[in-house]
Parts: sequence; structure tokens; C-alpha cells
Amino acid sequence: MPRHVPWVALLAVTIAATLCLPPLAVVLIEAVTAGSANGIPASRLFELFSGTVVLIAIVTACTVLLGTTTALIVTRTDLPGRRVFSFLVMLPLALPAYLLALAFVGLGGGAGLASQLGALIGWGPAPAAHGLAAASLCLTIASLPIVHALVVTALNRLDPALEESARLVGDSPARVFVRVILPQLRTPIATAACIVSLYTLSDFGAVSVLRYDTFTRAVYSQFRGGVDLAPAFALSGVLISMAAVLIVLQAILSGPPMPVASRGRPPLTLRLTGTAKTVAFSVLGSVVLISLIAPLGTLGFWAVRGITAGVQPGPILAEASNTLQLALLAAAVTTLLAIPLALSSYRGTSRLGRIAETLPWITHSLPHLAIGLGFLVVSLALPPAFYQSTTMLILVYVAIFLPVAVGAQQVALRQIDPRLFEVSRMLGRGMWSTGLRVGVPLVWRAAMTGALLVAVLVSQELPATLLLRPTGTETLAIRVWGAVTEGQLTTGSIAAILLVALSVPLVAGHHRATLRVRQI
Amino acid sequence: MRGSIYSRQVTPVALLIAAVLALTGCGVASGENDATTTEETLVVYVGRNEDHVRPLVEAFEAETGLAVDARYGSTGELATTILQEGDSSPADVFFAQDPVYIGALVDGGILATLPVDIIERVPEGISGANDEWVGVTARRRVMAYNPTLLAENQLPWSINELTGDEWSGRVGLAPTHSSFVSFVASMIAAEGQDTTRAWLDGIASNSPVLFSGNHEIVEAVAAGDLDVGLVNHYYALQMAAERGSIDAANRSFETGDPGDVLMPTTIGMLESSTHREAALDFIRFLLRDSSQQHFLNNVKEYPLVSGIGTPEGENPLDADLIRGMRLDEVGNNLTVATTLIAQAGLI
Repeated sequence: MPRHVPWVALLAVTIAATLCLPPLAVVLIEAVTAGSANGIPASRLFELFSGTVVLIAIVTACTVLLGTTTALIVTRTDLPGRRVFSFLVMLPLALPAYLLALAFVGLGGGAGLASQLGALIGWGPAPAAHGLAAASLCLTIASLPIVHALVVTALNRLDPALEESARLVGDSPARVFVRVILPQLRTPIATAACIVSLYTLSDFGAVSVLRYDTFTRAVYSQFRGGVDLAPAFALSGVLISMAAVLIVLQAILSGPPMPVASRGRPPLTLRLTGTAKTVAFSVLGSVVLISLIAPLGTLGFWAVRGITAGVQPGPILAEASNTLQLALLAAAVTTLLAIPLALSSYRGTSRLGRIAETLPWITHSLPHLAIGLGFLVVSLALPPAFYQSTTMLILVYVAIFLPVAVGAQQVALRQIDPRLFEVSRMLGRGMWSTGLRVGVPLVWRAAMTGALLVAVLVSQELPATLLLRPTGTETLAIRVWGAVTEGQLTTGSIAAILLVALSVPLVAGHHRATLRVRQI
Repeated sequence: MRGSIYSRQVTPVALLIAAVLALTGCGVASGENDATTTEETLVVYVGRNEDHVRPLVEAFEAETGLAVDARYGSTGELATTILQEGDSSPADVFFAQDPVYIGALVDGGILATLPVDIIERVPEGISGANDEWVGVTARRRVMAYNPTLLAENQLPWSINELTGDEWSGRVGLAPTHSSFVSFVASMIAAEGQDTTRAWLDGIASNSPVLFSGNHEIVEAVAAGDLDVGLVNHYYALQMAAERGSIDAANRSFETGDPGDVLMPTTIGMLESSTHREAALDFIRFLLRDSSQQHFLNNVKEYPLVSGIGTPEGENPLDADLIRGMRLDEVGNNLTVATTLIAQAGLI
């Protein structure tokens, strides 16, 4: 909308506050009243804290470097097959981090597949996948698509005129990158770094499988091991403070808004020759090998081995159907509820709009287990029909994944020339008519990219689903996790392959829609 | 131009419509049961592996014509959930992995008393102090090792040896897994808090390798990445069944050692249950010979009903082993056990 209509902002704040405040309040109040964390020694708490910080630093640095590199290769060079690679780099979105971790465990170590394959050509055993190195690699791979996608989108939106001028005055490609492109990427990189660091902070599946101790793993351990929630909530309090620091850091590091190309025009590409071409190929090839071929190959191997041994995978088709329905339903509801939030906040001027935008970011960035526990307490206070209902579960997904949908819509809204609205109003269209006939067609595709991403994330979501799903509604993610924790690799890998198969069309749709957004 | 824009929107529109249909129409699988669940369906919280219990749930449904909604999860998570739910818990029955977490529900006054015919199906002593729960099967705590890398005579006979220098950095534990918590609870019952604390501190400062679950320990042992691990007996047996063979074997600690513990899986009915007859029938069903046979053959656990058999390679269930469970005390030790584990820094 061209001007802020207070009721949109009011609606947005109401939605955000209703969904996000109650669980946050529960977690905060419980964290404060819980006091001590079950007498865990301070030295151990410090170990957990520093372990978490080190992991976040490594994963964030690696993904930013690697993701920016892959984005530059696919958008700014003439490398053959760059479009295919751009999609392949995005595809690991279909693989939740805990699955990657499981596959890495199966690859490494004395009995691992990599060791067995290596032995054929006379190599020694691959190292066992656990600890800091394995966790860093796994989470880097898992969050690479986030950085890649954000930087690709930003690069496509840069005005090529600046780069062309720099090249005209004789700057080398490297100098153009450092002096012209990089400064303009400051905001998207800061955003990507923030998302990746919060993701690393909140992950518990991958670090559990890879046996690396972080705060979130400790929260889960405390929840799983004891029936008293106080220690889990006390540790969650620390997590909330760490998340707050990361969100503030992002705001500080972000630069001013970028100049956006008024008309899409392909940027200058760098012609790759000889060594440069080989290096670019090896970078993209290694990413695809480690993030797709190796894990999917491992899962496939387990599935085949188990099926040959006659293991029955159980009712996975019903679980796949549940997963898909929940994912689409959550995506639709999230996208609808995100509209007022995106409208009220995309210019970043209204205070109400900023509150409406920030609240869901907090629920999004906290470990889902903590938010799930908060919702568990809240839904028990509601009428019994809400407890463990599909409705409640969908609302929880909305509360967790709203920022994804809002972000996607904001990108498109910011690209709209406000004069389009003014023209429409001058031609006598009312506000509603202008919104529907001018705004919706322009935002529709971007909203779809957000919706599809929400569907992918919901289908993989674990902790909140574990706590709040309707009894009897099992999903693939739950099945995978249950099988993983019991060492049933056959069931786990078959369900996992099905989960990936469900997500691939969603990721592909997301990718296509993303490409089209910039064609507007 | 305009036409092409609209045609390209068809796919997303179809997706969105499908999603909305799902919302208003058929609903998510059992989502439509939301309103009716409390009326006609028996709700069972199962803190055990889904694949091991689902066949029995389905057989029970087929035989009785009753509908059962089973919620699978970890025992600790589900016990916490029931305690949070209190009187408004939708669950009728809780099937747990061990006596410790169900003990927490007894403390909370959440479980009803079970009838004598159910209690008498299992040996004396494998039920709650006031018959609030009954044992279904049992699992033994053992040490997993890799027989191709370590000879049996190199293994310790007591868990107390594991705190010595010789075993530094070589022992795998899953300290927050319910099976380890139960083992600590039973050690407290047998040896007292001070001895248990000393052992936990000793093992914590002996560079143990921490895992989140038992199977990961057995997996690491089989791969040659870990020397020994404290686990339940059936993991190595199940993994061998799934894969043909596995380089991991079990060794029990000496009889009478705090490391040699037999732990029953347990089941109880909630006081708030509105389907008491169906709930009790479900418990009776699990204690039938055929169900007990399923647990022995497919899960490799000890049946508790007499005359069914003993897992391959394990000692038979006898009165000494049952006394050794000290179940009358173990159930009260959950909070002490989790506190001691946390204070030792084993999280």
C-alpha cells in the first residue's frame, strides 16, 4: 500500500502478539522462576556456552564464505551448467540437518561406507563423524542454501550499471567485487549470517546425532531425562539471551538499503578459462557431492540393505500423506496471516509495524523445543478441544515460520514502484481494488516462494511436532527421528527418502518461483 | 502478456486451493478425530519404540473392534507431558520403558489401581507398591564390546572398575537416556546416594564418551570407534537381526554388581481415564502369551509371563534377579537420579 493504514498495522500487531506472546511469556516466566539449572556445575555450563559460540562462529563464517562464492559463480560467470548447479545447491533444503548428520555418521568411522569404499582403492578408514568438525560441516552444508539463495537474489537485483562503470574505468574483476559488489551485499550477508547463526543456535537434531554439546542439546537432554521442566526452562532463558544478541548484531551490521535496478538487465559475466573454470567446477561439484550425493547414497544403501533383509518400514505412506497435508495447510495459513505483517512493516517506518515484524522473529529463532513447551503450557490452559488438535499445531507452525513468509512478501513489496499505486488511485480505484488488482499480482509469486519454503520447513519440523501433534497423527519427520534414536536404519532411511521426495517438488517450485520473482 | 502471467499462476493457485480444501474438507488423517477422540477412542501414550508396539496395537484393534490412538515418543517426554496435562490428560494408558518415570506418575497420584488378575500375570515384585502399574517385559543392563577387538577376559566385572585409569576415554554412556537414568535410580536404591554420586563423579572425570542413545553406543562399538559402552541388552541382538551380523556383543556384569540390573517395562492406567474397561483389556492383551512371545522374538526382551522363554544368550529370569531390581525403591528415585547426573556434569 502506498500509505500506512493504521488498521493494517493494528491487525498485524494483533496477529503477531496473539500467536507469539503467550508461549514467549511462558518460557520467560518459567526461566526466571526456575532459578538454577538442576545444579549443573558452572564449569559445565561454561563449556556448553563456549561450545555453542564456537560452533556458531565456524558455521556462520563457513556458510557466508561458501554461499557467497557459489552465488557469485552461478550469477556472475559463464560457467557451463551454472543454472543446474544453482538448483542443485538449493536442493539440500529438502534434507533436514538431522538426516545429513545421520548420513555422515554412516559414512565415517571404521565401519562407515566411505571407509569401505576407500579400502577398495587402498585408503585408510575415514574419521568417525562426531564432535566439532563434523557438526560444523553438517550445519554448514544444511544452511548453505539459505546464504546462497539470499545472495543470489541480492546479486540479481543489483544495478549492473555500477559494475559496468567500474569495469570501464579499468578495475579488475576482483577489484570490482571488493569495491562495488561486496559493499552492496552487506545487508543480505548480515541477514544470512543472522539466520544461519540462529539456526545453528536452535538445532538439536544434528548436534545430538553428531555428539557435539551445545546449549540446545542440553535443554533437550534436561527435558528428556527428567520430568521437572524447570531446568529445561532455565537453560532456555540463556538461549533467549543469546538469540537476542544475535538479532541485535544483525541490525548493527546491516547497511543502508541497496539501490535496486529499476529494470531487470543481465549483469556482466566473467568469462572463466583454464584453472579458474576447474576451480569453479570443483567448488560446486564438492558442494553437490557432500550435500547431496553422499547423504542420499548412504540413505539409499541402508534402505536397500534393510529391504533385502526383509525389514518392514511400517505405515509410512499414511505418514507421508499426513506430512504433506500439514505442510500445505500450515503454508497456506502462514502465508495468509503474513500479508498484514508484510504490508505494515515493509517500509520499516511504523513502530507498530516493527513490533509486528520483530515478535515472530523471536519465536522463529528460539529452539522449537522451548517454544513447543511454551505452547504446551498455553494449550493446556485453553478449552480441551484445542489441546493436541490440528488447529493448535498449525498455529504453532505459523508462530514459528511467519518470518519466512513475511520476508518473502516484503522483498516483492519493496520492489513495487509506489507510483503504480498512485496511478491506480488517480484512475479512481479504491484502496481495496488497488490492493487486489495492482498489489496482489505483483506480490503473488514472491508470496508463493515463501509459502513453499514454509511447507518444506514444516514437513521437517521435529520438536514442536513431537510435543503438540494430535495423537495418532504421525509424520515422516517423527518416524525418521524415532527410528534414528533406536538405530533402525532401514525404517529411518526409507522414511527419510520419502520425506526428501516430498520436499524436492516443493524446493523445485520455490526455486522456479524465485527465478520468476526477479523477472517481474 | 497478461494472459501469460495468469497462465503461469495456475500451478500455485492449484496448490493453494488444495491446501484450503485440506483445511476445510477431509482434514489431516486423524485430525478429524479431534472432536471425537475423547468419546470413543482408547488413547495410549507409548514411551517405547513404535515398530515394537504398533503390531500389538493393531492386533488389539482387530480383535476387539475398539479404536486405539497411540502416541509414540520417548518415555521421559511422555511422562513430562502427562504430568503437565494432569487431570485433563487425554491419555487412558501409559506404556513406559522403565519403572522410574512411571514412578513419577505414581508420586503425582495420576495412576489408578490395577485389578488382581492383571498383577498376578507377572512374578511377585514387578508391580507398583499399591498396584498402580505392572511390568510387561524386562531388559538387562550390560556392557557392549567388540569381540573382534577385545577379548572377553579383558572386560571388567564391575562398573566400579570403569572409573579407573585403564578405562579413561574408553567408555560410552548415554547419561540423559531414560535407561541410564533408571540404572542410576537403581544404583541409588542398592548402594545409597553417596556411593552413587562418587561413581558418577568418577566416571564423569574419566573422559567418558557421551551419546544420546544406546544404539549409537552399540553402533560406535561395532565400528571399532569405541571400546565399551553401558547399554540395554537387546540393541546388539536387534541390530544383528536387521543386518545379518554385527561386531558387537553383550557382557553382563557380575551378579550383585550395581551394573547388573534388570529393568521392567511398565504400564499403568490413568485415574482420569474414561475408558477403563478398554484400558484394562489392552493391558491384559499385552500380558497374553502371544504378545509376550512377540516381545521375546521380535524385540529380544525378557517376557515377564512365565513359561514363554528367555532371550538368546541371556540368563533366565529368577527370584534373585527380581529381588535385585529393588523396584519398591527405584520408582521413587527419579529426581535424585537426574539431579546427581546433572551435578556430575553428565548432560
